Amino acid sequence: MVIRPWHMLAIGLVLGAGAACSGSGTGASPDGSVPGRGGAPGDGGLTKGDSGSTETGSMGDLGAAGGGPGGAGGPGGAGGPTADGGSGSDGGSSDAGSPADGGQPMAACQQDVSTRVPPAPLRRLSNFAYVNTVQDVLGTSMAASVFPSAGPATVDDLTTDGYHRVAHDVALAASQGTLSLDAFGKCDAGAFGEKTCAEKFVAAFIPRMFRRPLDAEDARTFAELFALGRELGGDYASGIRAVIEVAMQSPEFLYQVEVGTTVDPQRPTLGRPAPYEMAARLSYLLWASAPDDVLTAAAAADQLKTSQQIEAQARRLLADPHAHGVTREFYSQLFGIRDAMFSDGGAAAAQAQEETTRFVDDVVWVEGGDLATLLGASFSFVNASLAQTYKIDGVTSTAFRRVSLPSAQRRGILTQLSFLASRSPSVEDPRITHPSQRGGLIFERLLCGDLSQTPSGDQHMPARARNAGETAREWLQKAIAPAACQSCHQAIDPLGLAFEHYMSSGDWRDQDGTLAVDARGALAGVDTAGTVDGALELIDRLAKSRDVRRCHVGKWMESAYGRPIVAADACSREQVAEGFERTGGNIRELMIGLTQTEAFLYRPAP
Amino acid sequence: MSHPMKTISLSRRTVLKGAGGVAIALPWLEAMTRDKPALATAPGTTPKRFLAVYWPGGTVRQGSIGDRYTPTGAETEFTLSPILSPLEPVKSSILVLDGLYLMSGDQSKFSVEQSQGGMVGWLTGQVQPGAGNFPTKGPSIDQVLAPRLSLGKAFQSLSVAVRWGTGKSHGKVSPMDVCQFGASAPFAPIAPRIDPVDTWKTLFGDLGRAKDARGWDLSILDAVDKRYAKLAQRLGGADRQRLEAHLERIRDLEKRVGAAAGGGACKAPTLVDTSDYNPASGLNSANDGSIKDLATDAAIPKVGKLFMDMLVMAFACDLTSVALMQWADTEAKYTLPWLGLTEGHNFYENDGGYRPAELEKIYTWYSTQHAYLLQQLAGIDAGGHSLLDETVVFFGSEEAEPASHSKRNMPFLLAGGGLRTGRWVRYLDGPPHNNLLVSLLNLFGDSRTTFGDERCCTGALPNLV
Repeated sequence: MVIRPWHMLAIGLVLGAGAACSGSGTGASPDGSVPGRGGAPGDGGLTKGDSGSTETGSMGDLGAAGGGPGGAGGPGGAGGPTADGGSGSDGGSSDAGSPADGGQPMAACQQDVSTRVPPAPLRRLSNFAYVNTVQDVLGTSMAASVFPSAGPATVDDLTTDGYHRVAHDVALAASQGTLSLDAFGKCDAGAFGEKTCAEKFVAAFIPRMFRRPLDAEDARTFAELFALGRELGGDYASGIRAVIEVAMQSPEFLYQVEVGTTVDPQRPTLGRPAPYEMAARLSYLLWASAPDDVLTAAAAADQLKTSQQIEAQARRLLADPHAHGVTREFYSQLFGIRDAMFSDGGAAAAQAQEETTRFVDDVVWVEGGDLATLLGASFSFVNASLAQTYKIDGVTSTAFRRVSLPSAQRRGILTQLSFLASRSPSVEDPRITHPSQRGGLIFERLLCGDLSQTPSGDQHMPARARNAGETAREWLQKAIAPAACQSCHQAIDPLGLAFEHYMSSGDWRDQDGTLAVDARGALAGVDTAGTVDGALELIDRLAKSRDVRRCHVGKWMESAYGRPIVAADACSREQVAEGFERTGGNIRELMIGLTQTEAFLYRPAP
Repeated sequence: MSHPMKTISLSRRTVLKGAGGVAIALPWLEAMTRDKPALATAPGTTPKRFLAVYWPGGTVRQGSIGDRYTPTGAETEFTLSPILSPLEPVKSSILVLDGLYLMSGDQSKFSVEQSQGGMVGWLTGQVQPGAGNFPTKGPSIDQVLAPRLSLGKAFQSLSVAVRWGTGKSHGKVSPMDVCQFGASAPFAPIAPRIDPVDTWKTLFGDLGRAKDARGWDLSILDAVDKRYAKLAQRLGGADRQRLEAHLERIRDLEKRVGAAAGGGACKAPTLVDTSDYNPASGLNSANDGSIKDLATDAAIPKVGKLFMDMLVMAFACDLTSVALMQWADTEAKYTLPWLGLTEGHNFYENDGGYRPAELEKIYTWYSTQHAYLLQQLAGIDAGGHSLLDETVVFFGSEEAEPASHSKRNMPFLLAGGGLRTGRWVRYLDGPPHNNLLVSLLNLFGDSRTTFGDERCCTGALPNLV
């Protein structure tokens, strides 16, 4: 069989800007506009002398030492999958500028500083962060059963119902004494008076809930709420219950509210979050939870001002296991781990997720922590059942343990069952694979291709049903024949077809029905583009790709900053990408780098 | 009318419905703030309540008198059959679904008992692990919905049964008479309430307490509302809109919580004298139905009406938002003297040979009861729309027809809000009924794409909304 011509087409040539499957996924501004590289007037650049004040010393250092990867990374035209994590690549020729090019400040960081920090929209806690916060602040896991997984970007009725229910249950449990809130101080209302005790409780509780000091208005509002609950419920505990129940549903608890913006005298065109807001930025980025006492104390002492202070806190936070939850959640969402489906329901799904969770934990926190290992590791963690799937001898227990993978068949996260399993409910036949699903994930999540315009549901029907005995390749060639299918499927299918050796049960196969497996595919639009035969060759190209690393930076920035990365982020993005390159693709250092950008340290001026 | 919640769930998750394995990349980060405003949920069109109604033995589609169940005509221009004719007054509110396959209960496919498999699979979509056993792998949809829909209500869900536990089930919880299973492992069977007087006392003996709970919720939500309004004023532009959109959802919740608080519709139904009815009559039953309790059987119509009235008022008073009513069990060993049928229901199905003429009378009577229930729901004002408009009612049985115990072409009916009703929809390719369970969950904003045993599910059922 010959490789069809469409395997060979560079995605960037096939896909025009604005096409249904256009690139520039991670970070083009919503209207698609991107400034031309170097188009904005320079302001003298971000040189060490210019910005290396005590405020931004390490940024200045970075800027000076960094040199100019800005070349290709600078915002360019729209194109294929923009592995530069944001603003459209120059046809994938991203090697044009390397950190060693020397001397030149990053081009993106030469623009007017006031245009380099886009607005940071008000962020609601992700479900993951909400559950963590309830756990860490209130000491109960009650929220986890109501919000077991990721939720919608906008608030819907389920979300408000859920917040209400958790608040109701937690407050009731506290008022009935089944949940202890002694952490917020004990007070004998009989001895000291209900009013005094209520005031003391509010003074201890509300700052922890709202992640900022209590103000006079809070004190008054919650005193009134205490009185209301006291009246409705007839006792002191009911008053406290009302305080808890309202606080848990308040926007100050559920959102990262930033209203305390101040002007930085060093950079009057920019604003800065207030110290408590910076503490929350740090803890939600690195822990997905509320600031701990140390961070809160640092904010109180105004010690979250300089980038060095912030970096020191970031390193402290990363050394805590809370941070492991963040990387688990990030990679789980990035690789769609929880969307995998199995014919035998929960058991296989749980095992597959367990493997990937252990693997991610190990790669990021025990091993060197680099993206290349995540993609190309020669080891994983399996139990007897997964070992059987992966053809690994000697694992007989249900307990997971680290193993070497069969080198000719498996490598890294993309050959794990959690990625290979079907994301379709029709999973009766493990022989049926879904190359478009697999390829789509890689295209979108690793290459920053844009699939947001994909038609949904009934509008996305295959042109032809799959016949029994037909290989995925045979089926796809006919099913996606209509022109409307081509732009996306030509981009994603060659990626997914490289995985044809893996059934949706995760098992390896050499034969597909009566035919030998044809796992030829292609990677296009990036620095390591080329044709491949099988997933291992594709993985090798992905793991070596600088464009994949740049895309990865963009994905982390989206996650960390909770918004699309836009052209104005170019300087911040360059900075993180440069650090990521310099550390050999180290994910922990990438996370630190996220706290050192203008996007993180600043806000637009008020 | 299509349901707005559904749009949200589709846009936020991989769409995997049907479509032979077509999947769509999902927006990958929940944390990503979108500038699009939240889709508002139009009041009055969102189903808020779920009611399932079971009757035993399927229907009559074959035999000496022919098909007495299947409508004729076309999807929107159709004529109700003799058995469904009592539903004529509420025809515009119902959706007749033909062609669905209760696959999980199919004895020819799985080692389930021919009737029990349908009973326990009806709301769970699970395959019975052998005759006499309960499914252990999943909940029934009503229990999945209950925690959310009945948030803050006095009862998470309510299930009642008329003339329950007959024949071989001997008045005990068994796969012959239970179709409701807990929301979490071990997914234990839930016995229905069978005593009408006790049920009345439980529901309506203390309406004041429920009102207090509602008053508390409203006070709390009012305070929360004020905090959003106040903070929104301090923020600019998109941030303010974001908080205001959230505030809209909170006000929606306030409306839902407060809906019945001031409504005049909530009142305890009249507790008629049911002293001639023995709710525990099943305890005395014989395997073959030879022990008859004619006094209790004769009281079935008035007890059934009382239970229906209680369910309607439980909704109107917002005591719960999820309910199940069973007209007996799969044994169906009770007589129907008010129809002149002095042998047991099951006698006309099997024990006395297949007798479609008598069965038509029985099923037509059940249709009459369904019509009464729907009319009662439709008659209660829930603030500019009826209680029925915000309720999804699922009428179903455990088998398609009694002669063969077939599970293909089940006689299922839907009624209520959030659906495109007034139609007769035929699914010619016989999709598994688990797909319907998925769609019912989707109607309430639950975005899952599969439910029950995955071997019996291929995604959501199209053409409901």
